[in-house]
Amino acid sequence: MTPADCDALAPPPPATLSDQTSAGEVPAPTDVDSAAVNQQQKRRIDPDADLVVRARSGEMRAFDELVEKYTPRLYGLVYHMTSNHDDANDILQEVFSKAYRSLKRFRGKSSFYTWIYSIATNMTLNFLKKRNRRRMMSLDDVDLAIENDRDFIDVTSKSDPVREVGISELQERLNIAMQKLSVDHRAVVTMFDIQAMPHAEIAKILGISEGTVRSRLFYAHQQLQAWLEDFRK
Amino acid sequence: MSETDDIERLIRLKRYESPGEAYYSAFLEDLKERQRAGMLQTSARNLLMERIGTWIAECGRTRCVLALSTCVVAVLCTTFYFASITAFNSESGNTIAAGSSASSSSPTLSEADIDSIQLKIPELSTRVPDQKVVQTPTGGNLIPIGVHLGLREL
Repeated sequence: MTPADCDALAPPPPATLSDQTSAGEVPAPTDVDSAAVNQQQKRRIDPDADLVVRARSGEMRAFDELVEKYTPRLYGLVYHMTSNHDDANDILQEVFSKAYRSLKRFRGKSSFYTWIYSIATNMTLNFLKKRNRRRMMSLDDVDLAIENDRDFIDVTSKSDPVREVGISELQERLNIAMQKLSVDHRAVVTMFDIQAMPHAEIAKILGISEGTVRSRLFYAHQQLQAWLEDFRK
Repeated sequence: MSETDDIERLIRLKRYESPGEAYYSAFLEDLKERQRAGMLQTSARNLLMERIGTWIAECGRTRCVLALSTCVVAVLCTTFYFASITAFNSESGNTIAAGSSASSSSPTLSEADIDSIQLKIPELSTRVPDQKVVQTPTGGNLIPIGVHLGLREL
């Protein structure tokens, strides 16, 4: 499975208990042990609930499992925002360190995934806003499976036939264009276009309305069209 | 395909950028190493500040309100205490000043008043029985030395 498949098929964040209750999927308990039944149903809704409980009690192995589970997705978020592997690594280390220290304050109102994703987003935005000037890019390797990707084939076939578009050149141009965007626009493009998150979840994580998400996406796409015009001919 | 779709398809190609499986495998170990190193470097003061921050964050709203109210009451009590001491001292000073000024009821005389007061002594007869009249050299109201005056003459 290629990284592209991982990102594309990333499981949607588990719905919170309130969401499922309003949808009527949780039947009303009738037994005396309704509290225990509800607890079991809550754990089924958030697949990380057991790991979180064990990690909060001090079980390091449980927290390790959470790290292994979410590192690829969180790394993708931070890397696509910074276009720098070293910065992404440092930020991700800080994200998990902070998550570990703050685990006791996690109330479970949202899923663990949403919670840690918010931490990563906020830390990345703060890092980029502090860093004012643009830093040298440090790009990851591109999986060669890209050559079989239909979108890549379409792009390279549409471009100037005299000039072959190499993978490196395409990667560099895409990252340069992304870095030209403001951090706020870059965030919505990363979450929506690259990580395939729905508008509602993006709005919740960034603390903005869905309308603002859509308008930022529209503006960002217009900017990117201008900068990547020669790949669309 | 719309222009927006083209751009979205282009940007989606960034998904193929990846650090590789080896990076993810080593990430957890690096994280643990960094945490161990960080704990060694964390000073006692930073740990205390972090613990205080965690305690404050874990405090419920009621406890925060109680703590804040206690602080406000303590500040008010301290302010009132010092204000009362200051007021007491100032009152004591005023009382002493008032007592000393009450004993001297007559108004004080200025220097101009003193200068204007002339010691009016009627012209005296300096004649001593069986003696010649002696005229004073200044012609003022000075009493020559050796002349004894009676009460009537004064």
